[in-house]
Amino acid sequence: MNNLFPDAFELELEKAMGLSDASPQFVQSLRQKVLYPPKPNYRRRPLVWKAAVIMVLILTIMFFAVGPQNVLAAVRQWMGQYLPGIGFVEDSNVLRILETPATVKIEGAEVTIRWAYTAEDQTVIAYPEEKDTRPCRDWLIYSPETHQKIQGISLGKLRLPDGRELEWDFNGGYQPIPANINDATLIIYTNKEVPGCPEGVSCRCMDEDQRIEISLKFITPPPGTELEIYDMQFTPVAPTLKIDSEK
Amino acid sequence: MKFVTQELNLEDKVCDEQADEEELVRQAQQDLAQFAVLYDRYVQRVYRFLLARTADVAEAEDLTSQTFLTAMQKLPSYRSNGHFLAWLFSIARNKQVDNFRKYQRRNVVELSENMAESHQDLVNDIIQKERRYVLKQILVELPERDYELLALRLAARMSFAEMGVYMHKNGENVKKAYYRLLERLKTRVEGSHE
Repeated sequence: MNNLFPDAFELELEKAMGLSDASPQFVQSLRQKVLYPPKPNYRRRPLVWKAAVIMVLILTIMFFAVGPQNVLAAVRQWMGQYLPGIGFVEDSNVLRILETPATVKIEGAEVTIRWAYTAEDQTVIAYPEEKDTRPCRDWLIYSPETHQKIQGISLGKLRLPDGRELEWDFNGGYQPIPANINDATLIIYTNKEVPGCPEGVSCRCMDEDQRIEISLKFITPPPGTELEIYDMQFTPVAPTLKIDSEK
Repeated sequence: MKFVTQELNLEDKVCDEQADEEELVRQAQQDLAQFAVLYDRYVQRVYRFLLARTADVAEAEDLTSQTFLTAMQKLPSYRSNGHFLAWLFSIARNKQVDNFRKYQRRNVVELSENMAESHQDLVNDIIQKERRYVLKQILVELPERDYELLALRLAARMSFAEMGVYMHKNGENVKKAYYRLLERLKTRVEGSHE
């Protein structure tokens, strides 16, 4: 017996152990699998990576082209704004106030809006402080017949830059100004003294020149701003029905 | 005298193979396509070893596949120390052990005579059949350590030096243990016929 040649008993053992060589088909098949494994599809991956890199480049270029401040503003518009102590809030919830009191002066009259704010639910504008010393040339006594005409000239509107007009809604204010709009024009009518109004009735001056437009600019309150917001519980007053006299 | 000369020549051949084996491994590490030579050299030995351990052709094929695929993956990290064969068979052995733990399958040769017939070893002589049956029974009852010796020597066709490296033992001691085992087996087989 030597190291390399099995003797008869060893051959007998081999047979008893059921030993046999692997089939040529298996050997060849495994050879292919081991030596030539299927190559991963590298073609798709670079395409995905290229697309991703191109997207990042485009976004970077757009970021600098549009301007970081504008991008930040846009992101804020999407996501809301951070208020200290409150956290992120949606823009519709962000309170905006009048930048400065707005004043309009015309000959014989001066109208000032001291404060205003627009919030999620409504826009509230302080009653105008007005001083109209001009004489009233044309006026009407409040009555069922004159109601529509007087209301049409009395109720102010809030006009947005895009032409939309927000109506005063008897709930103490106007509809909220959209978050992306900071400018509006208030259209009001002064209350001139009606010199010949009979005693005991309400009259309304109907002169055309009492219509005044005031530009309002809203801003987000700077940090630290102390706000004085008044809860305007407004009870609409029904038109007086007295018909004692007419103009 | 002629027999001794032939034996020495074959031992020299084994030494030459081991010498160039490391070179082949180095080449394969640099170019995996060069692994083909090593694959061709060892695929049958690994398969036979695993067949001896599992007694199941499909399982042996599956484990052989796993062994070579793992070897290919780990080849770059293989540290060339002249024991590539031992490294390869360690992978094979681990695969078989993992598989055994997973399925708790019997990993010894079956006693069924059909297995012998399937391996084209149909012996007409009844005595030989009986003798083989007895031998199989002895193999089934053989301790793991002894069966491992037979699997390495007869199935994997390792030299005693290679077996020594694989088993972390001295080759000469492995050789003695192997022949003592053969003698014991012979005695048991002869005893069963008396």
